[in-house]
Amino acid sequence: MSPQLSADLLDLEPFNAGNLTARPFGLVGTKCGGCGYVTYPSRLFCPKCRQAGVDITQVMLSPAGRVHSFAVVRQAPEGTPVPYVLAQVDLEDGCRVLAQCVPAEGGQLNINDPVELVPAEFRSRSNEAVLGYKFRTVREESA
Amino acid sequence: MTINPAHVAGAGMIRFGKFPASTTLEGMAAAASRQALSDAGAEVRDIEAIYTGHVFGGPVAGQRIAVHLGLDGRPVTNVENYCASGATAIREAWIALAAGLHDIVLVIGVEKMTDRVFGGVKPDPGDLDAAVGLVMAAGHAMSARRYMADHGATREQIAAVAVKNHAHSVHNPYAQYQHAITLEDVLSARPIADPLGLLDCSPISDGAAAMVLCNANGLRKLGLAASSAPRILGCGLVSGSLQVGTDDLNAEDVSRRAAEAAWEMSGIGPEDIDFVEMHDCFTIAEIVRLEGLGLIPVGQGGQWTQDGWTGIGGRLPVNPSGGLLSRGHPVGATGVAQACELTWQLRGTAGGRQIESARIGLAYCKGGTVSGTDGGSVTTLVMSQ
Repeated sequence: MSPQLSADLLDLEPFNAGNLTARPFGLVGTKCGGCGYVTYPSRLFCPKCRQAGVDITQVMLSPAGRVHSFAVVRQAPEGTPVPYVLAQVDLEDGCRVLAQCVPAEGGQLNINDPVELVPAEFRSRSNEAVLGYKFRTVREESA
Repeated sequence: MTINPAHVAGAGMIRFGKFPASTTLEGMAAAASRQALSDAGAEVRDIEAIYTGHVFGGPVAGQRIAVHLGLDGRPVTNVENYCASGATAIREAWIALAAGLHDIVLVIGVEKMTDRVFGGVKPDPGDLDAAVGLVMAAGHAMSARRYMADHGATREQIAAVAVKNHAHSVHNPYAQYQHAITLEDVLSARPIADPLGLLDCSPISDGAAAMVLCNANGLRKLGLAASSAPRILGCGLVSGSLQVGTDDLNAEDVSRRAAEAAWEMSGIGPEDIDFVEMHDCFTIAEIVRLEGLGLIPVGQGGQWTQDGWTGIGGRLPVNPSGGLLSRGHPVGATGVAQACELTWQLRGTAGGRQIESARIGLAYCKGGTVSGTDGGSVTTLVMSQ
């Protein structure tokens, strides 16, 4: 993705306000003041400990994660261009996020591949361009 | 927590398929209902209330159907739980019968899909998963890929589910597909969501199924013997729960909880189940859901299928009807069609697909997805002779 395109995308309204920010770009989740569990999207309660009366605070999530599983979608309802790759990604924060995933430089995706979150164009329900997100694979640093 | 069983006085359905616009939702539902009434030896005037499961039928579909049947004026309950809508309608009817609110009711599952659903079903547009492009096939493709990686299962073992269920439906006159397919057919079919292809997916179908259910009073009114009317011992209903952390995608906790609900309310245990009608909306789903219910050890479902243990005559026959893959999947009708199959198997009238010594059966439906959870709705219907 060119820096220019990325900048244009970041000027769009996030598709799910409160759970995605443009600058800095990233997902926003919530962290439980009781058990420390981090979840996405933001929730008013902790889905892990379910304690009443604990502090729930918003946190920026790490953009880094690994592929738990993925599918190459080749047929979708009308209006959705195919093919695309959908992946369940386990973020470093310990929660799982579903999103489209682009293998780097047209390569093959594999379970456990390291990926990072990057901006993407989504369509709102009224078909306007909005800021969304997807993953793309990153090269692992060689030792 | 065991409440009184309901009895199946009559069951009826139309052959599932892809029908022209002139074959309407109301017409299909009425045809299946008349068969169920006839099977029960009941008249329209005997029906006290109607429970209708559908997803795409539009507002007050059950009332439109009731008017077709001359059942106008009766209480109608429309039930939407996506692919578990029909089964949830059965559950609501069972509860009303056990409570004594009604003695004889009509349950209908119906869907007209082929003129309004194209390219597959997906979550509601208001759900986060829809925004990122989830289609049902992709969810199951991710399940299949992970299952193979975790358990050493092969693509062929997963494909064997479709081969087995198509072999069963050769003997089911109500099935959309009544021909056998080969493993090679499944493996070489057009890809839909890799690693799954067209024959790993249940079709988009039209169809209807109906049942006349009653309580002990209703049996007397209809002059039926309890021994001739299979019993609904209970129907578990659970919803997906928010998943915490990064556990196995195929943990199937929702199926485990649905099984527990069924065992608790029916007094039946997994060891008592003689056969299963399983919601095989996709091949892999049959495997992981049987494992989630505790009917097959985790990780062995692929091997069981390959070895024929889930076929008619096997250790645990699954989907003698052909399942969703082969009977077809008009989503709101499926749960009632499964219950019709349980009825015919328990009566011993299932013809070429009859399971020997079918005394107790389980039907499982799973409907919809909600972002962050392990499912929308799951039902577990337990029936006995």
